[in-house]
Amino acid sequence: MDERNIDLRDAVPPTPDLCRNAVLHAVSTYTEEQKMRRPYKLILVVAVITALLCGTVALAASGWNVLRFLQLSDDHMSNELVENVSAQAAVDHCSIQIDSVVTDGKFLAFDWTVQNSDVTKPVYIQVDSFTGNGVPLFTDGNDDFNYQWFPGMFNDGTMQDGNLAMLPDEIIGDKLDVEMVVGVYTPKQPVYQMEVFDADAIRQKQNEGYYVLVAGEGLVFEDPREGLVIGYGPMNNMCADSFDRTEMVARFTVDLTQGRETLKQLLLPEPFDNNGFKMQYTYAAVSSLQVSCTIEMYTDDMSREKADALLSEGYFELTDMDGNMLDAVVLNGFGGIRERDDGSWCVYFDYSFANDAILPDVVSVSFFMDDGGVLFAPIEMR
Amino acid sequence: MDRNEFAARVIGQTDRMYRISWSILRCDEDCRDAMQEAALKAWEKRYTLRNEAYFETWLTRILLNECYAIQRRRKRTWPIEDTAELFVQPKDLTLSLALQSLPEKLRLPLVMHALEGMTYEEIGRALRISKATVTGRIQRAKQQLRKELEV
Repeated sequence: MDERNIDLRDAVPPTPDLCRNAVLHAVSTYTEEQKMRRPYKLILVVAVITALLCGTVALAASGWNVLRFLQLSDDHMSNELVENVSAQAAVDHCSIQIDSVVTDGKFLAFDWTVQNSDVTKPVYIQVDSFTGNGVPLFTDGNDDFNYQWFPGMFNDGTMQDGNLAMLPDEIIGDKLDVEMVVGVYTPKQPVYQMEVFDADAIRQKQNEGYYVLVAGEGLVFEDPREGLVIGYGPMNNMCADSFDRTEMVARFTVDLTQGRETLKQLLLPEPFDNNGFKMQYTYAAVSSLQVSCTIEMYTDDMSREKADALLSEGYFELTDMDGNMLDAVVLNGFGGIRERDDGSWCVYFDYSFANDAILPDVVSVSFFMDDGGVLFAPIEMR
Repeated sequence: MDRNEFAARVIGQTDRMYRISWSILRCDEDCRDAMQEAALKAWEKRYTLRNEAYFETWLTRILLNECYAIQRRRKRTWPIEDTAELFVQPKDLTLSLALQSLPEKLRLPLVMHALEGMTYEEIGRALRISKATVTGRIQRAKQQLRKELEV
């Protein structure tokens, strides 16, 4: 392709008004929006995963482990909590391996490697169940990397990834039995893999009894209305019966005691009064892995409406005492409003970030107001 | 980044969001849904933006997730040979069809690079693939596009 003569801008239509208006409408609701959609305690927190997964393939050959998954250096202080578990499961030519786990009793993280060692026999793999002591551990629906054709995008049939979960309160006891059920969906007929969509070749191969997988994206089927359609998998009702399901069950047990021992409550400072805005930590704890805190912000006798309005008038950031944002790996960050014991309302924010020696001893979960003001709430981390 | 600045940056990404969602969904109504939901989720998840310098890549990642979610939710796939469902047709229909004929995994990196000016590293970060893979896919996309146009 000669890019000097071909302008790809001409290949894509201009943005239609309905799309432009949709974005304008979305941003216009920012002031009204309640930020938290799901109970945070049950959420697998993958705020960081978008960043974590970057370079996954590049790391494949260089020793994948949970610290790499968390984007923490090998000499990070949580290294002492890393347990080697070597959990493995395999079926036919597919396997899953979990090598290392880290937990402080509040968060659980582990690496995993899924492989299809026979790239001539593509399979569709997805995590069907993920539990700890029988309690479901949820993944964030926004990160959808837990299913994949193999080899699909991964030419060598190997994908390295991991999970980061905030443990629900229902998890009690000193041991955590983790179970990950990975469904392996194998097409019932032999699969012919093509890199480029070629209708004639596809129909020929289908007539020879093959399923055709194009560019690792999905099988091609004949839709009565639309003709040859690419992108089918076992989750499509139309061809759900075209797969045999087997499963790999990876299990490992983690000792929660060691991590919990490093989890220490921080001294909660007295509420800070920033020109009538009070900021109060209601929870703060530090472990070798992370720092978690919950902060409330309110004015005297704050109504629900005022709390809602305040929530929309700024945002929280982790800063030093000069207001500089700190480059900490964020594990969790949710905000919302809630009722206090005395019936008044407050804005609250839940924050967890990787503990790191480079962070100052005193940090602040600071509220940046729309008018340019910054409300500081210093807390000693150590 | 305050709310107004955040909103302005999202609005400033509208065209990019459309072109990227078009590369996957090729249906304007689906693009609208993906873009709207991505804009909403970006605001909800803004605390997860660790470095404002990565705002565009971060927003792109959210948009991609929405596009893929729509694909799955509607159990909808698109016939490669058909023209996309568009309200406004592209200027160069032949080129557009050739681009649409590419597999998504080749088309998307090409669009991100050639139209959005994203570096291979940024594309790799957004698509969660290595820089080498991005390089290879873009090369293959160009080859196949040239082939399509020669026919």
